[in-house]
Amino acid sequence: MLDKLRIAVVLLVIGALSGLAIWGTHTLTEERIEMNRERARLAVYLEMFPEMDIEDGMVVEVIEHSPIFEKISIYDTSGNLLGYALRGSGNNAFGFVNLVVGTDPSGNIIGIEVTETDNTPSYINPMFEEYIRPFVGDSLQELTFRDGNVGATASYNTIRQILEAAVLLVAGDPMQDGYQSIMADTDRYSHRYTFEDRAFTDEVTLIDSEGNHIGFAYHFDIEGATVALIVNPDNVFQGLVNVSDETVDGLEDALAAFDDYIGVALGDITLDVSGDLETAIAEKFNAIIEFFDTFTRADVEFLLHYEAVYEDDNLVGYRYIATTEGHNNIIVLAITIDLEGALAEFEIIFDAESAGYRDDFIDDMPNYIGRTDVSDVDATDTYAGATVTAGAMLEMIDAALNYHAERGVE
Amino acid sequence: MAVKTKKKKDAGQMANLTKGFFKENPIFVFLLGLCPALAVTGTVETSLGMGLLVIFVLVSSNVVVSLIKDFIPREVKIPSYIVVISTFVTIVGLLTEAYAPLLFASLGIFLPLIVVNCLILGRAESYASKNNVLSSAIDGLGMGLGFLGAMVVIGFFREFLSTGAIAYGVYLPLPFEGSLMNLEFYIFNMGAFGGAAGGFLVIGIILGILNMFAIAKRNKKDRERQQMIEEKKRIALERKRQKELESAGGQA
Repeated sequence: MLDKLRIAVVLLVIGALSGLAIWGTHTLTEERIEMNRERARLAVYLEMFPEMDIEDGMVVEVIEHSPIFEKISIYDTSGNLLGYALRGSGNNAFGFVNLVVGTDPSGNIIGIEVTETDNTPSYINPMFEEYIRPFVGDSLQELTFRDGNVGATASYNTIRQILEAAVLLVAGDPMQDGYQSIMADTDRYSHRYTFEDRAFTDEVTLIDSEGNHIGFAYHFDIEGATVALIVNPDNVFQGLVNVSDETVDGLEDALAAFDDYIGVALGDITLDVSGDLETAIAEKFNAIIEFFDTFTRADVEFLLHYEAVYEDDNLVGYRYIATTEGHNNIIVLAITIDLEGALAEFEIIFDAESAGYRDDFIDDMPNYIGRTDVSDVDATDTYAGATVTAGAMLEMIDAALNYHAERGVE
Repeated sequence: MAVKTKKKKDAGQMANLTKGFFKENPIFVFLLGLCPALAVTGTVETSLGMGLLVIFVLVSSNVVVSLIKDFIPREVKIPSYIVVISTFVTIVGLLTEAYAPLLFASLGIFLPLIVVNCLILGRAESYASKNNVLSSAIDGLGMGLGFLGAMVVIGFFREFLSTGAIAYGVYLPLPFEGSLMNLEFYIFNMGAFGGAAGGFLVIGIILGILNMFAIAKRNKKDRERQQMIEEKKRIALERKRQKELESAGGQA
């Protein structure tokens, strides 16, 4: 006992002294480090905008819920707008990347610099010089990105996300504008799912400034334009809007023809419209109504929708559609849970995982059938080498079992 | 007698200091700390910077480990040493970011990774935890200088082969900047030496050359020893013959 106490005291003292030394050094260097960072940033702005007014030529606008967190309008000494310096940040498995993108007022890139990063320098630096730096001179709206094979894929994708956010900030985001025209409280949106085999394509969650999910948008294509059908969380129709840059003659009027159904729950709508565009829209609209005849939306992490499963007209369980990020891409599962709350069936709808890793888990699936809880399974211990893939599948199954138990059998 | 002991001690400390330069060089002999030796030796300045930081951490951690060695229970020796080393690495990281921001940026992730440089933990465990403060400090300094020297040699070849010049004042906060040996006529495009592959190549070539000399030296020693053995054999044989002759003469 005394030995253990001695060990604890020694470790405590070493930890405390260590903390004290680090705190002291931090206090001494904090101001200088911040000054260095400021100087480095200013040097980057000056490189991009040599004529900028260093004293009063920067107006900072803080951006929320975007990889771009500051939009700095840069002016010269006469007060003319020279362009924007967009400060962005993103994370990846190797750490963080802070980036500054300089554009002229029209959105043409005049400079890109990584200001701080802890990604491996010998990977990110050559990749940056070869694939990112050449964007200088291009219009921000017309950047063409590569799909991997750049030598530093994680760093590249992080920079790509920041640049894509910069595009939305400078060029405006037609989706955001469209959603806001229907649901004014929409502060941001989040993509939920892409349907591969239905008449509509994407499902998007609309989020207000307090983080509440205030609605859902379902996208479909009408003559090249992306139209969003928007419902509230109770599936009450809120309106149709064009959320793309494409303009189609007569589309606005055709969309307005559906305004009569605003405020009606999807399940109670029987469409009655005429005209070519209106009929095309009604087909897609009906496909969404039919989807919700069968499926119910589950607005919780990992789960998308669920439907009742019948055998000989008898309810035998529920089938949950779940998705999350795997190792290589998203994984989509159909998880069937019986009326006793036990896992009955499991099907992979989509995955791009390496077969060897995925099959480790699939081969093991019979062991999970009949279980009502999988939270005790540690993917790291059980599926060494396939931790991410197996962990993702277990998370989804766990979410489905918990959600099923919470909502009870209807 | 006392003077003799002091002289012996001084000679011992000198040997302690210099052993890391060649005989027990961390990189070229023990192959310790190869991660930074491959990663940040693209230029002489970054090699020098990393070497100096490692010296600071090595000497400081050796001194502290030597001071606290008697208080650390055996079961938590390694975790305690790691805490000590990581404290100094954090301190050196903050100081570098404050006073040499370009060096800090160029070392990137390899600066915090000094914590896991096996040279530092190795010296703490194998030397500082068994010796007094002065000897531990000298050991840290000697090993650190050996590490720095090896890093600079690698950095020199890599930078020169990839750029044809040795730049200074770029990463370190020096009051002057420029480049040495700037060969305007340098036409060989060997930029690969600035990358990771170049690190492997240069270290491999240097190790090969050092091994070549070591083998030549060993062979020479072997030959000399062999010659000595042959000579001793010859002398012994001659003595034997002499004795046989003498005993034969006596009998006659």
